[in-house]
Amino acid sequence: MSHPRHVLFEAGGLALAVPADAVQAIHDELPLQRVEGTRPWFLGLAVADGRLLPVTDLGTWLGLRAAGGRTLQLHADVGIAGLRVDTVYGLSDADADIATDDDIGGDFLPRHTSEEPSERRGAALTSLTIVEDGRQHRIVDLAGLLQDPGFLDIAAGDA
Amino acid sequence: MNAVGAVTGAIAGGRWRRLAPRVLLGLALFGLVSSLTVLQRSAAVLEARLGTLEPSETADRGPDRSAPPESPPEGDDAGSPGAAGTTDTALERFLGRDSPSLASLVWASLASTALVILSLLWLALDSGRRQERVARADDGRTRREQAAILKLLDEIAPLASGDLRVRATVSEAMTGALADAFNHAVAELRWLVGTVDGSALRVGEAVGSSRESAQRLVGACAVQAREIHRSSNYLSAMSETMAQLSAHAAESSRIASVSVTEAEAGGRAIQESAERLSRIRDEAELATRLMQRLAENATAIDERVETIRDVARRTDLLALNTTIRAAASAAADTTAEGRPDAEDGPPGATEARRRGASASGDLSRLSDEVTQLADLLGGAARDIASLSRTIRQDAEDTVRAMDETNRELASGLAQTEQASGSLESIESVSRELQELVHDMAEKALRQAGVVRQLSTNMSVINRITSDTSREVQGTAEALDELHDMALELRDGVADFRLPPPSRAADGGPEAATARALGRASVHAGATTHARPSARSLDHG
Repeated sequence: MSHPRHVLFEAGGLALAVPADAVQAIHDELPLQRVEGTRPWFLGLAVADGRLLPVTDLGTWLGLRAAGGRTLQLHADVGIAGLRVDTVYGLSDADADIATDDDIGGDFLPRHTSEEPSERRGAALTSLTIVEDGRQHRIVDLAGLLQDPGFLDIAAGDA
Repeated sequence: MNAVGAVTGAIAGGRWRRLAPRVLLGLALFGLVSSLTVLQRSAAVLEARLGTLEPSETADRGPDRSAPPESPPEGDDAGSPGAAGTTDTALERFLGRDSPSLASLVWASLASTALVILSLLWLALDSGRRQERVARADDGRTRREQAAILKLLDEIAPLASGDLRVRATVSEAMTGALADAFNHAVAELRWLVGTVDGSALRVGEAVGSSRESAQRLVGACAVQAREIHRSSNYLSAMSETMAQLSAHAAESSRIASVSVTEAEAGGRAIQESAERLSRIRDEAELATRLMQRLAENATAIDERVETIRDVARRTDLLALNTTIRAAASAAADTTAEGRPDAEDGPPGATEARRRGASASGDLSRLSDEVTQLADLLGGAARDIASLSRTIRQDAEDTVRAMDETNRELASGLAQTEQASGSLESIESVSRELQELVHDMAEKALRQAGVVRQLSTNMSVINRITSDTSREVQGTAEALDELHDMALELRDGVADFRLPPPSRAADGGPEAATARALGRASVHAGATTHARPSARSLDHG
């Protein structure tokens, strides 16, 4: 059975995956411009392909440790956003297994390492998991993430 | 003056007739002797002159002695006056003008002889007359002399029993001189007995004291001999000890010499070790510099590895992006084929989608290969980085080890130099010690010889002391004999009775004797003596 391919990566120590067609490009050491008065997980603005790209630390947003690696630039059709992740492993195979929580049995997520509520991750992640090379990558719900009011509210003091 | 007075008294007393023939006989004998003496002398001189005259007369006569003289002497008869006159002339010529003539001397001798004969005749006549007078006077004088002698015998009789208190009466009788001489002899005897007794007493006392001293000296000599013997034994032991000390010192000197040799060998070995350590340190410093360069090269390699890693990362990123694009393209194609109107399009569109799908697949494979290359490159970079890190780590460890080795070498070198200095000091000290010990050995040897000589001298002294002890013992025995002799001497004079001391002026027989001798001395007209002299006795 053939599945859409996903970009496999890690953020905050958590193995995640996003659809490959939702990723415009992967940047390495993208220069950032910090913005005052924003949330800690909002890293700032960067310029990619001639356009401003707001970059968010996905690990911090998920309530995990801060990520410090590459930046996934999402496709403009999905939303203008950049996600800072740790390590990008590559793309999943087309015939990789996609399992549900029931298939896996149990919560694979690590314990909370920050004060962010766990519900935030529940809104950003799907219940599907790609099993590749023995690792389980939880698929990120980009639509839900980009429409999450908390994700969009980057101004400090309201959260 | 006394002699003149005596002659005058004798003439005045009628004694000239008895003395005149004696005087005349004396003068005649004197003249005869003088004449004969002068005559003998003249004859001797004449003979001597004649002995010297013969050669000169022979010379005056010439070589022919048989020729008669030119002027023979007047008359060859020596008994004639003419011949005598010729002889006197010759004698005068030989003896000198001042000498008396030989004829006058002969005449004087004849006159003296005649005078002697006359004097002898006179003496014979006078002697006959005097014998007649003496025979007449002998009877009365004999009686007086017998009485005086009997009195003298009575006075000196106690002397036979040793009584020295007797004193003869000095009178004008014939025995007066005998009494005076007897008194003087008795006084001398008293002085002698008193002196003998006192001397024997003092000798006894002195002998007793000397005997005690000799006994003490004998004891002291015995103690001295014992101490000297003991000291000699000590000196012998000291000599042996000094000899042993000398031997030990010689052995110590030999050991010190060996120590010096060992110190020199050790010093050379340490010097060689120091040089070897210095070379090792230089080599270690070189190795350290090489290791530092290796570490620097490893750092450079790390920099290059970082570049490779960056390239690999970029390649990986490029491959990822390409793969994403290819995946997105493939997903778009799949989505387009799945739509219902896909078969209704122009036939070229389908072909275009097929070619697009084929290109997407090629791109995906290319991306995969690039990704694999990036992975290989990244792996190689990681391996190189790991190796470089290992090399750098090893180099740093080596450098640290070499630094530590250098420090240890420097410390060892310093310790070696210090040990070398210590060995030099030991060598110097050992050398000085060797000299000192050698000098000590020589001195100890000399000292042993001196002590041995001293021991020998002590043995000689001991022998002398033993001899002295024996001599002193003999002296003590001699003193004992002398003491016995003094006692015997006192016993010998004990039978003599002396005047009591109160009769003497200042006590003691010596004072009485001195007083008696003083009287005798006054009688002799001499100064005072301690004892009477023989001249005083002769005078009496």
